[in-house]
Amino acid sequence: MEKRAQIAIFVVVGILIVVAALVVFLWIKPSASFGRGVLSFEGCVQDVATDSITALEENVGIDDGITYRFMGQEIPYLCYTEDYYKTCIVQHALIVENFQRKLKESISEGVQECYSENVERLKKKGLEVVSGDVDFDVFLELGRVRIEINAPTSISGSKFSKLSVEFASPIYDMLTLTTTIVQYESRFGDAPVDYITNLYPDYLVTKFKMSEGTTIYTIKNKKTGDEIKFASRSLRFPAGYK
Amino acid sequence: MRIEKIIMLCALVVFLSFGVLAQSNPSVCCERTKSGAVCVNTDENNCAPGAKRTPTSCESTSYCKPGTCYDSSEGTCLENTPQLVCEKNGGKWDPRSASEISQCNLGCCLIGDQASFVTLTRCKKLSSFFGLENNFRSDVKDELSCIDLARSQEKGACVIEKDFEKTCRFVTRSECSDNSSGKFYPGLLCSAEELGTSCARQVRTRCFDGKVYWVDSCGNLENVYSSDKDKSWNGGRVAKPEEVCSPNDGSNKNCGNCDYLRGTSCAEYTSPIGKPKGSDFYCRRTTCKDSSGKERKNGESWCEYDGEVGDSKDKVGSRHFKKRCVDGEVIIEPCADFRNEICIQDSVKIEGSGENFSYASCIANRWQDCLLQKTKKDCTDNLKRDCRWIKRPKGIAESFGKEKDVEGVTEGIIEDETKEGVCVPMYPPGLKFWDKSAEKVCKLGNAKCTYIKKKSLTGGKQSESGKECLTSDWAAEVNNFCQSLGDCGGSENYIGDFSDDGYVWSIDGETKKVSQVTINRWASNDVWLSLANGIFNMLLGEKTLSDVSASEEKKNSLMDILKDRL
Repeated sequence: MEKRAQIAIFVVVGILIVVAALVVFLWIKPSASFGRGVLSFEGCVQDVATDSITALEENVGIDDGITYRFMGQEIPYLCYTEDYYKTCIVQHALIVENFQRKLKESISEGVQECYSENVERLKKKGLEVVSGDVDFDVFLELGRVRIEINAPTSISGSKFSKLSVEFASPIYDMLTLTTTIVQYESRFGDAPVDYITNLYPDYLVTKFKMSEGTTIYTIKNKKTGDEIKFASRSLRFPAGYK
Repeated sequence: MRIEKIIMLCALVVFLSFGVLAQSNPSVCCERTKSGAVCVNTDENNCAPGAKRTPTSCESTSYCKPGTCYDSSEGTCLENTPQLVCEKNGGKWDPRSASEISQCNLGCCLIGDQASFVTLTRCKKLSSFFGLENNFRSDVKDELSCIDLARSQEKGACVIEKDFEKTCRFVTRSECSDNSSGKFYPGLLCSAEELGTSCARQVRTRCFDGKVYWVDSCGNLENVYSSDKDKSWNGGRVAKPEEVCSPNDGSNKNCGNCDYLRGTSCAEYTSPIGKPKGSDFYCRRTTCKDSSGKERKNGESWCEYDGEVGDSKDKVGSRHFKKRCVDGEVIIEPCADFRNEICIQDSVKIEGSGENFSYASCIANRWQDCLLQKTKKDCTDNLKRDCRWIKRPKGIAESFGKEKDVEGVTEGIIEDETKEGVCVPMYPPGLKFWDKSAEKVCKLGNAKCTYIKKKSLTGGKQSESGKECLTSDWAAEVNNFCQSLGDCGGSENYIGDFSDDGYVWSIDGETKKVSQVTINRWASNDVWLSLANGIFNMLLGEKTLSDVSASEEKKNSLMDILKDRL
């Protein structure tokens, strides 16, 4: 009889320990990982970045310099000359770095908002959150965009700081293609779009020559629909005899 | 003695009372213009306030001298870049050309079975994206050799044993050696039974390099897809696509050996009916139809025109077009305006099919120095220019085509013709015929012809010379010559509208006109009809223009007879 009672007590105590442990780890001290769980604001940052990339694509991330008005759109000249029989002068170099920098500037506010919103959300859940300054870097890479965020945060005593947001985007490839075309334009006065399209079958590269010597280039990703347009004016010939 | 002066003026009626400058005359190098352009040679008025300006070419200035911009992060070199543009985004500027800078030397960057003809720095960057060691071949000097080198890289199974489990990747030998614990089996698929890996064969298919391939359960490529799975698997050994099945022109859904030159490439099969056996992908035939209804394969390019081209037949307002077929869509690329570019095309025979694959290109129309050529040999030198040699019409200046440039030649008309020919553009350039610049050009085609009729005072035999000058054929011949210079003379435009405002024909001050039929006949360069025309005129002794228009129909029927006989 005593033995049975002892076993019963041990079983009950064991169950109570397990339940208590579950209560402690799941409810009293929830796991506040910086990843996809409690703080998770990767989705928010990704949305902000994607929208910014789409907006910046319209002018290749360039908001100064000479432009060409084409079908209601101001298209930036990446290479330009007013001379006849001469190749163009590059107007904007290091396009990838420039786009990267402009992207960082344009999403700065959005990233801060994403962070603040998530901190508030955690606080409303009853968690003790100590937030810090948000700093981040944007990296355009082959086939993707990577955002490294540094935001020192304490959630109920647990400390987190670094977070990486990555998502697929063809923007780097498109900017590299743009650089290639500008290289051809500045050196030879024209770019072989057939050859480029054959080497990069995921992209449709077209050019349209205007009457005063400007060429409008369009690079379009066939799968995602992302599109970049830019202009060049190189090695032009006058109408008729000089 | 009766002398009639017949003058044919090849000119344009200028309706505008003001002239427009044909082109800009850059006078200073502007560091920045009002419109935002950087380092351009332009009028001083265009320079932005406060911007540097020097009355010389930008190449001679310190602030706008073009050089090479080196991007040390991306490993790219951009020529013709001013220093201020380069350094604005952190680039390194060098006054030398890219070929003189060691960091800009190109070589073959091998990344797995892919290749890229880039600089060393760029190769390092690209390799880092894939987590591979840098494999840069500086001895490879051109892109095609680089691509060939990548394709010849032997691939095989790279087996890695970890925790008593064998995993495998289908890669090149160099990629496998990057992983120290991997053992490379050349020519074997990861699903080869003797390797004993965990990769199961032919689980699904996917597109790679335009063809359909089987993929194993580990995600590795196997051989080209065929519904005959055993034939495709080839006992776990690598097989060339043509060893699995013949190049597919789209007629066989069960073969994944798509062929670019036959107009097929890998695509997802979206229809619920007729799916290839065991595959979600197939060789899609992506052909197009050109404007004449002819089928064009994917990747083909061809020329189309607004009318007849060559032999100075290009009409006013016309241009050349290059069209290409891309994934079933016809992409139109107009060549440069004012016929400064022409479209040329050629084709290659596809092995095994007997079909042709055409390719086209817009190239510069080299008409600029045609008028300066004095001999037929120089004129028709296709390596240097696009010109043709024609008979000099009676009354065209002997000075035509000599050393003076356009602005130096005024009327230049003399009465005696020469037997020589004259060199004119094969594809006449377009002109800005709405301003005075075109008038100077068209004046080169002015001609003066004299008809002399001598009567003896004693009533004896009379003689005459230059009678052909009175005929519309002479006028039409000169008009034809005008047209070969550019948008001059009377002619039809590219949509068939005829205008005779581009010439003035007068006989002793009385203005005449040539009929459109006659002009078109000469424009079509129909030798037999021209000859018949001349014979007809000789036989009937045409004297006045009114006779010409009345006898047009008669003339046409007679010409048909003469043409048949000749």
